[in-house]
Amino acid sequence: MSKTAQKRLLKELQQLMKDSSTGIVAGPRSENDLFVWDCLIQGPPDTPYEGGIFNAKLEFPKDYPLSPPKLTFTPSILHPNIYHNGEVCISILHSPGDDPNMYELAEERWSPVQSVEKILLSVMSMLSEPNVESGANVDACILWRDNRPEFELQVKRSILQSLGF
Amino acid sequence: MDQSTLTFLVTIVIGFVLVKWFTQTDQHPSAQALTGNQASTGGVSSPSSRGSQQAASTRQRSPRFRRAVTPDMIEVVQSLAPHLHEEQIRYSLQQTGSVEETVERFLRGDDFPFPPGFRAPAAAQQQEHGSSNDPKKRDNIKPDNLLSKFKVDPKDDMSGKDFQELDLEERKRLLVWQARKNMEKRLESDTVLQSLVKNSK
Repeated sequence: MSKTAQKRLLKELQQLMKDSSTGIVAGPRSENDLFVWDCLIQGPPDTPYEGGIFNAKLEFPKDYPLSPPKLTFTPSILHPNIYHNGEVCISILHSPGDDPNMYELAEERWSPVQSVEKILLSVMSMLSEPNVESGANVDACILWRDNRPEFELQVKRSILQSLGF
Repeated sequence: MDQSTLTFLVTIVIGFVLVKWFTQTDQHPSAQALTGNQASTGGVSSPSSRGSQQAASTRQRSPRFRRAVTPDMIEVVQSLAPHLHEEQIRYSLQQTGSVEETVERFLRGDDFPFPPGFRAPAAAQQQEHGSSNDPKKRDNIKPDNLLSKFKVDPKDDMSGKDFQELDLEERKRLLVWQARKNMEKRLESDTVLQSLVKNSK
């Protein structure tokens, strides 16, 4: 099983290195372990996250691509759909079997035809369009809904700090 | 008494103790103390397979006192009322004897008391402990200095590099370097960002 996963991960890595979408860099953290990837995701333009670079960790299960990987922002960022510890809550990362909220469409969820690149692109669109209906960070949800300017200031402040200003 | 009878008796005794041990309830000690004076009611909350069997015998013995509560029942109620403590739910279920009735009470907004004698502070502590134990709640929202993390020096000039030809690490550095440079440019005109930088210093 793990052979299949390794082959698949190598293929995805080659594909990503050959022509990756702009604003995404992803690859194994070390050469000995293909199952833990380190990613950089650029904040999408025209959002509070514009100009920021966000570091995330992708952990693949041994039966990848049957089960989805787990994406964790390291460190976490203020966003309605990202848990305090950095874990990301989006439908593409949930396997069809376990739907925590019971309303995600099957085609939105994980299936072996998805890929790392699609996950990271989904994360980028999640950054630009938070889904407050299924919030992971309740405080962020409330701030986003009730006091958008303060939310944006907090996000921008942390982006500036992360870039050494 | 010869040797074999003795062995036989000893085996029976050990077996009895073991069975007792395994069917012991996983109930809260304080609630257990309560059941204690009601003629050893095995497990109100032991795993359902055994639980139903035992619960039946409990019902025979003391039908008026408390009804059988299986972990499944508690789970169902807890999924609807996650903030309630397991003991509160168990106590209510023991009174009502049905999930429907307990849920009805919950939806009506009734109070859910702890069982008498239940050590509330211990429970509160446990709950607090539980919430801080949830790994998803562990706060890790903080800015991280990407320049030092990826060893990027803003004074370097990486503008001539071609993204496609770089290896993984270099690509990351280039991405961070570009973000830093773009932000420097934005800072020249964006007053909101300027004030944020000033305030953080």
